[in-house]
Amino acid sequence: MQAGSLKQMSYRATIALLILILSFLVCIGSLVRVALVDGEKYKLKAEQSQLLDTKVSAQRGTIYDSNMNVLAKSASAWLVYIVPSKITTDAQREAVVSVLSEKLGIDAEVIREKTLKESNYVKISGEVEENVKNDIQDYIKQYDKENKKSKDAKLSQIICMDPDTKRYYPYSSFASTIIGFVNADDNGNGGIEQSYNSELTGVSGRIITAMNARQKVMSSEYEMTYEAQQGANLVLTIDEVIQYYLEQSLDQALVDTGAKYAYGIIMDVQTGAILGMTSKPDFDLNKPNVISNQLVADKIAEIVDEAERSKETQNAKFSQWRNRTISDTYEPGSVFKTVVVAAALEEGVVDLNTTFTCTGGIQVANHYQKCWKPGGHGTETLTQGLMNSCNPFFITIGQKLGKENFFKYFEAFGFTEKSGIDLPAEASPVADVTYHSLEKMGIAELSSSSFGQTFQVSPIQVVNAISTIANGGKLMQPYVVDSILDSDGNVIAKTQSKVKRQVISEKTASTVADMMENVVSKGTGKNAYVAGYHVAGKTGTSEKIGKEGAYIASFAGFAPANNPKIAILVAIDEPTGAHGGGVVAAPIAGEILEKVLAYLNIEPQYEDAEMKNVSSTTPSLVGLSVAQARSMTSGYTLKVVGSGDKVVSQTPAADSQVRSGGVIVVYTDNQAQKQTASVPNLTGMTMSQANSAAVNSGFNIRFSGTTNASEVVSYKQSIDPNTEAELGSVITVYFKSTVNVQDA
Amino acid sequence: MANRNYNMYDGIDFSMFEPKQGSYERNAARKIETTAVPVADKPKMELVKKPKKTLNQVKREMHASALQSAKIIAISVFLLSMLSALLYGRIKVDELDRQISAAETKITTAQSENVRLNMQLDSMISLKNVEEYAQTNLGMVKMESYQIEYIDLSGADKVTVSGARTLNANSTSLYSKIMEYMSR
Repeated sequence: MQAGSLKQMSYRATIALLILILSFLVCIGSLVRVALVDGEKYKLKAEQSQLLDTKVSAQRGTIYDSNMNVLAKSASAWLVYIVPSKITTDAQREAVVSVLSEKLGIDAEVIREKTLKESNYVKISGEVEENVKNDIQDYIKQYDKENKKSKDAKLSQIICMDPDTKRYYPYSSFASTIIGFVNADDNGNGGIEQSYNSELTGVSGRIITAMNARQKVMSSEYEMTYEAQQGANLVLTIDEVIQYYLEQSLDQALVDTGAKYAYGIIMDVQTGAILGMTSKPDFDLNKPNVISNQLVADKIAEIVDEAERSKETQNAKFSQWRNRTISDTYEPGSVFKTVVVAAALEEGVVDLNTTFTCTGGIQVANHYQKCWKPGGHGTETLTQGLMNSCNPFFITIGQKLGKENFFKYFEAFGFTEKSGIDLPAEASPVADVTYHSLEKMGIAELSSSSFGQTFQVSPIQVVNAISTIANGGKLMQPYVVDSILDSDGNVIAKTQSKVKRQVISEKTASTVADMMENVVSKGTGKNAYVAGYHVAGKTGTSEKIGKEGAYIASFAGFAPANNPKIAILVAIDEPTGAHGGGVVAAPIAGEILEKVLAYLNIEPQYEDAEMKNVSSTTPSLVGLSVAQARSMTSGYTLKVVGSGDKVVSQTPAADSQVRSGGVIVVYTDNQAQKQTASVPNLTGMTMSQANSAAVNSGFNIRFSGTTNASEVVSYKQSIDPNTEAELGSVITVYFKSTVNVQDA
Repeated sequence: MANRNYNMYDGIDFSMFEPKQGSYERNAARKIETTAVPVADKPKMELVKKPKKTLNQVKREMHASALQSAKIIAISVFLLSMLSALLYGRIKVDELDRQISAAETKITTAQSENVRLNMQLDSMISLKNVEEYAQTNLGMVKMESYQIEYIDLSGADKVTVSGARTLNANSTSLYSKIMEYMSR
């Protein structure tokens, strides 16, 4: 019996031991799991419970233009959100809706809908400025004070605010497609903001504070601060004034031509720096999601189907954000003839004495290619061929050059690669899609390519190629960021201008530049002529692929032709009415060049013929007697107002430019009323007609635009017709030619 | 063996734990019985006579005692003041922390306001607005290229001295200095 008892005891002891071992193993296992397997997780939990980690956002860097004017800058702001779950009464809801809609300018219904959500966090608006935040807080305090006895949640528990940052763009739509904007996460979207996002962003800082057992922050001695590093500042090559002139002219061009888009680039030929670049219509950088084109916005608003409306809104946004100067491609048309002639001269297949007889067309394989001029240009030299933009001549030159040489220069001028500009979304050339590869280039492709058709390039590639001719044959790398500065203003990186390659010799480049100057002074580009400056350029007109009757009119050139400083490209996409580059784009380029060259302090050098049209300057008559004033203004029409003996003021002021025979009004009495009259319509007139009309109405006239040809007609005036203006005021009247400016 | 009832207490002789007969009485008798302890001769108690202290000794002792008290008080005061200083320091640090934090917030707010106002100012004085205001409100016209006068500085610098100044600029004589002064 004792043996049985012992056995039982032993059995029980074994079970107990096993239980103990198992428990021990479980304990060990748990320890291993906690310490080794999930160690990091528990460590993190412990840290989260013991430490308070606060992120300090780094301020985004500032963007300056080349004159250090601020184009984009960040500052701290507030994000307003609500806690709808705490709204219990209608009075609270109405208070939330009214204060937020009033102070934030958001539709009351939109806010009311948000207050009905079952959530603890609904964002109302970010980027709320300090003064607006204070206004909201004042209202909340007042409301809570008035409802102190209420048991419902306080308004301060319903409307809450978190720190946020706001990006300011002081000039709204200015250079918008270059600058880009930031999204809700403060990341760049488009333009410089996107391509230099990492430089602009900086490094966020942290404040790590110890917390006690009650989860309260302990004193600052237990605090570790890692300072936020502000993002780098960028200095662009964009010059505010040049950019302004470019944008002003292209905005006007959109109105005048009724075009769908207008884009332009101005580039420093010696460095490749982009001085101005725009794509119109663009958008307000402070409201990138608002459709800037009212017509488009109205059309979208009319769409009934919500899905369709949303899709169209998105398309319209992408369209206005698009920098068409680098993202779009187009057939360059006759502008490309400058590249062909440069290649042909460089290869020696033609020279300045080469002649060609244009009979109105040329047979290419099975196709008869007509010249744009019915009946042809007759016999013409190489320069005349370029001036006339004669297609058969250039087909012949292309065929002489051969496809190997043609492709060699096509590639060398940078048309088969991206320009490499430091902006996002540059169009990528694709062989046999956007251009003809050497292997697949037949006689038809070579011929059509020789006058700039059947292949596509981007505007930045075209202006870079034109700049190459201006820059003695050196192809430059275009860029828009000149330097990167740290937060103290020290330069940490500077862009060095880079010569990609020598495409043609200096001699060839100079020859082509001379030929291009002739295009502007006597050829199809005469509307880009600027008195006193030597402008070289080439016009282009191309029909848009797949869109019959839609054209792109363009002008590409540089100035001054004898010492090139800037290259320019102006393209007017789908103009209504006239669509030729010489009629539509060249006058705009001329206007821009006139302002930009004067701004760059490039001295005008008038030739004898030009001096005739340059007006004389008015003498200073203030302080003189009326008789003396009369003797000093013998070549002008003098009008005396007042009963005094001496001249107290005059219009136009001394040193104003008026044409001989112009009107000078002198006032001899301080009390004399300024004499005004209605400005006549001076458009659609010849130079002499416009002059007579202005003088007869008591105004002076100044000629601008194309004034070196007899057939020119005025198309614009600086003071609008029928507006009241002071007698003697100078009205600048712009002229352009409509004769022999067709190019395709 | 056969008459024995086995139960769980088998093998234990409980009689061993029963009190033996007469043991109680024996114990009681032992308790009552007192043994006479022989009384030893008690030692004689004598009063210790303290030696008489001199006045100086008393004074010294009093002085020492006062010093001791003073030391204790001084240490207590010192410790108390240290504690107070520590507490005060902590309070001060907290207060300064709060002030720094408030000042930093103010700086950030002021900087943001500065940026906001500068941006507003910049937007108001954009080239477009300035040009519009100058033309419509002030009646100004844009500078034209003819208004710019270009000066040729490519040649060597020349100085033309008008009049027939005969005084030598380097002359240091009193007369020439007076003449020069008067001619100014």
